[in-house]
This record gives sequence, C-alpha cells and structure tokens, in this order.
Amino acid sequence: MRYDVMGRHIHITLQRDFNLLTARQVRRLCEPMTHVAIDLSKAKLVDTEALATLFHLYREGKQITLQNPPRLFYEVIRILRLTPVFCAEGGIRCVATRPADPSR
Amino acid sequence: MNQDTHLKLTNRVSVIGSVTDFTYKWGLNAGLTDDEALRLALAVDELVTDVVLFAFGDEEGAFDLIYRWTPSDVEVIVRELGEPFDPERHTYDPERALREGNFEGAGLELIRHLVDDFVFLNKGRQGKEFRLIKRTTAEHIAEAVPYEAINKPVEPAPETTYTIRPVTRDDAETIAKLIYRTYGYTYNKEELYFPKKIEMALERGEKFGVLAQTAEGEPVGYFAVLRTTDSRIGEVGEAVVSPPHRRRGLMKRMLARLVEMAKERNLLGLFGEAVTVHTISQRTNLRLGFQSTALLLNAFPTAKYRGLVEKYPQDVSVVIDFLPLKPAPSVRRYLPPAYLSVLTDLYASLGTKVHSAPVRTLRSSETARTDDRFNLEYRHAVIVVEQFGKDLAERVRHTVETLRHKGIRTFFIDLPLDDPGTIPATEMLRREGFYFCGLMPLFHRERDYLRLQRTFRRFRFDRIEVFSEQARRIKRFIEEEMSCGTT
Repeated sequence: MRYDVMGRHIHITLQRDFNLLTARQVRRLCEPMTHVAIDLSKAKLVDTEALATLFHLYREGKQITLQNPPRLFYEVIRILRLTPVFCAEGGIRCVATRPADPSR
Repeated sequence: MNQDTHLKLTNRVSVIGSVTDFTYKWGLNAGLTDDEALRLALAVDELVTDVVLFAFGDEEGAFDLIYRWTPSDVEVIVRELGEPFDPERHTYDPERALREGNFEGAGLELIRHLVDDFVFLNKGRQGKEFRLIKRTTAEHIAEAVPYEAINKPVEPAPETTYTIRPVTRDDAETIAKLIYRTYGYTYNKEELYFPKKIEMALERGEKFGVLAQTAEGEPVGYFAVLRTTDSRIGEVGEAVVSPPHRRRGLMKRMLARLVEMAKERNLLGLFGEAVTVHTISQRTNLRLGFQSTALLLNAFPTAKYRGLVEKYPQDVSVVIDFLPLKPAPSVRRYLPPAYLSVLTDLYASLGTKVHSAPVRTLRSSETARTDDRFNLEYRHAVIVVEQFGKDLAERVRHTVETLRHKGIRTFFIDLPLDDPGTIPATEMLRREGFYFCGLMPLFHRERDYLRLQRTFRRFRFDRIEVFSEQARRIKRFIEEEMSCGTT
C-alpha cells in the first residue's frame, strides 16, 4: 500500500485487494484525516470488511473518494443495497480516473 | 487418484489475501470465466474472513479448504472445528447497516448471490462444513450447428472400412457435433454439448476416448472413459455411434481399444451407469462383458435426461455395470450376514471368490469420518465412510436431515468391505432406514464398497426395467428387503 499525506488529506493507492488486512491498515491511516482518496486500480475485489470500514470512516464525517473501483464492486453495492451511501450524491464518491481495465 | 486440492490454513488475517488469489487462479484453471472466478474468489474471501475472525475466538486454530471440480461445476469446501455457528441466525439487514453501521451477515448474504449453491453442514464433532458451488458455463454446440442438421432420415451408410484412434483435444468440437447430430438435446451428459468443456477434460486427463472414422475420414463414433476422482477406475459414460453406421460392431471395437488404453493407464476396472427407463444401455453393457452389481433407486430426476424420459413418472434409477480389468482371483471381505449371499454372488460374477472374514475384536473410535458428496441438481448424496466411529448413526441422521432441507431426496452410503466396522454399521444403518443397493467394486481408493441406500421419493418397482438376470436378482432382493419392513 502506498500513500501520500498533505495536511489532513490522504491519498492511498492499494497494491492488492481491499480485504480485512488492508481495511485495518486503511482505518489506522485515516484516523486523523478529513479527506480520504483511495485508488483501487489494482484491486480486483472489495469485500464487506472493506465496505464496513469505508462506511465507518464516512460516518465519522470524512470525505471519501474511491477511484477506479473494480467492476464487481458496483454489483456488491447493489446486492447489499448500499447505494444510498456508496456512489451516491453526498455519500462516498466513486470516480473513474483512468479507462476501465476489462480484466477487472 | 484424488484430484481434490487441499489447503490447510491457520486463522491468521494474512492468509485471506493468499487464499483469495489462489481461488481466483484455480477457478480460471477449472474452466470458470474471469467474472465467475472473481465471484468465487470473493465468496471464499468472505467465508475465510468469517472463519479467521469468529470461528476460534482468540485461540489459534486451523481449518481446511478443499477444491473440487467436475466438468459441469466447481466446489470449494471449507471445513473447520471452531465454535458452533448457524448461518441462518446471522441475517443481513441493509437498513440496519445504513442506520447503525452494523454489517452482520453481509458476507453470507453476498456469498449467496455470488455462487450458485451455498450449503452449510453441521457435522457434529467433526465440525462445520461450508460448500460453495459454482456451475461452469461455455458455448453450447447448438450455437455452432444448425438444429435442422439432426433428425435426418436414417439410411444405412455405404459399406466402408473404419479406423479407431484415440481422441485429442482438437477433436472436441467434432465430438460435440456428433453427439448433437445424433441425439439432439437428449443426451444425458450435458457437458458434451460444450466443446470447451470437452477440450479441458481431455487436456487435464479427466477422460480419454476413441473416435471411429470412415475410410473417408468422417467421424462416426465416439466412446470415452471418465476417470473417477478418487480411485483407479473409469466410467464408460460417453458413447455414440452415428445411426447410419450402427450394427457394424463399432461399439465393441471402440471398447476393445478403450480397454487397452485403460490398462495402459493402470486402471483396475470400468463401470457404466445404465438407466432403467429402458434396457438399451444395459443390453449394450452386458454384450460388452459388464456385470450388474448395484441398483441405485431414484438416483436422478428425469430433468437430467431432457427430451429422453420427460414422461417417465418417477425419478430415474440406474444399474451399475462393472467390468474388472485385473480381476482378483480371491479376496477376504467383511460381509454383513444379511447380504452375504448376494454379495458372494456379485463377486463371483466378476470372477472373484470372496471369503467372508470373521470379526474378532472390533475397536471403534469415538468419531466417524465421512466424505459427504452431493449434487443439488441431481438431488442425491453419497456419504463415503472413511472411518467408523461411535457417532456414525447420529452423524448420518444429521446429514440426511440437513440435506433433505436442501432438496436432496436420495441418499447412498458407501461402506468399505475390507473394514470389519462395516458389519455392525450395516445393521445400524438398516435400523436407520437404509437398505441394500449393491456392490461398488474399487469405487474409492481402490477399495470395494457395500452401498446402502435410502430414498424419500415415492416410486414403483414395476416401472424400473432391468435386463440381466443378475440385475433382476438385485432388484428382487431390494424389493423384498424394503417390503419386509426392515426399513
């Protein structure tokens, strides 16, 4: 996991899937932050531990942006009916900053 | 030969990523598409995360993952001996998640959507077992061959000479076309309509076969042996001869070549599962030298034989026909008294004299170990006893109860005949409502098994058509046992 901090803004680039282990690391890193951006370009999977962590960070009032979530992520959000918070106006932002990778 | 892949893991958070990566790659190699492999990997991630976080509390614990594939589906089994747990009691509530941030049950909810079947088995002292099953998809041959091509009027082909040669992966589409043009949609091995699945099965050595060709090179016959996953035997499960070339001894010639190939591969026997809706396959097997050794009642729903037996009014029973390739002249086996006579005759038909071994002292361990195999689509389960134990009856009762809720209607139990525990276990299982099914020679780990059965489906014996004298005797024996009220 790589990350850059500027004041209370953090930009994290995950090098692998967003699971329990990475979720715990993300949670620690984001504790003092107000703005969190996570680049998921290299993650094929985002599991429910990661979603719960993101949700808690969001509930703490942090502004969260997920960059380039994998395709399956959107399906998971739909299945778990979390669309009011994830990828929603005023919720956790989901953006594509690069062309979609067909393998993800 | 057991083709399962086993992983033994400890409950550390760091294993989750590795096992997820492995599952994804394994899924791709097993024939899943990239999307399907990702879904399976995420399902395993969720399950393993739950095990790591909750199964053992603060203690260190180990758990097993077993990866199993067939031409039509893949299965990941997670076994652990942690704290009692019932997934039904951990339901996900999206409103609660959004309101309170409580995501309890979210992983299990997700798993149910990501795989085709998710089954939980509480195995008592043997722990808990979670099964994730995903069916593989591939291009159906009907998408490549126009349907009009089949059902042409059958005129015998002009006289020609035939060559029989081993099939290669390049023959996959030829085989699928041959099946489709001969049987339309009615052939009971669904995977033979998918060239990609045939190719993969050949490539992995899961099956081997022969192709019959005319002098002009036209493929007109195919016969294959599917290797079983846990013993050196194979099923003669795929056979077709194009109608204009029938009655020319092609089946017999192809089998002779297959037997040679099976011996080269050190197989010890071949078997066939012949339907009892009619006796055509049974007659063919008998003509080729196979002997009937078991009758599996209500083994498959009629849906498995789409187009062939749709109007058959009950589930389809099958006869097991066996051909030993290296018959043992004599063996010692623990034969339960109730079945001594019938088992002795079945062994004799295979060219083996069986000596009934006396049981002197019998030490039973506390815990039985079984390998429970089931197919929700076919609605039957096979429980293979690996180790006898005092809790076998309780375990079987529990497994039957759990799987009945999942729609399983018929249960088979395989007991090793070289283990003295088979004798008391047979009596105990008869009291649990099981009855004779037959002899399953060399069926698991090159050992002979007595198969018992219990079906919860109504059926009529007179609708079960069997051909050989031996199959008729097995049928009569089962009917008498069931009517005698031992069940």
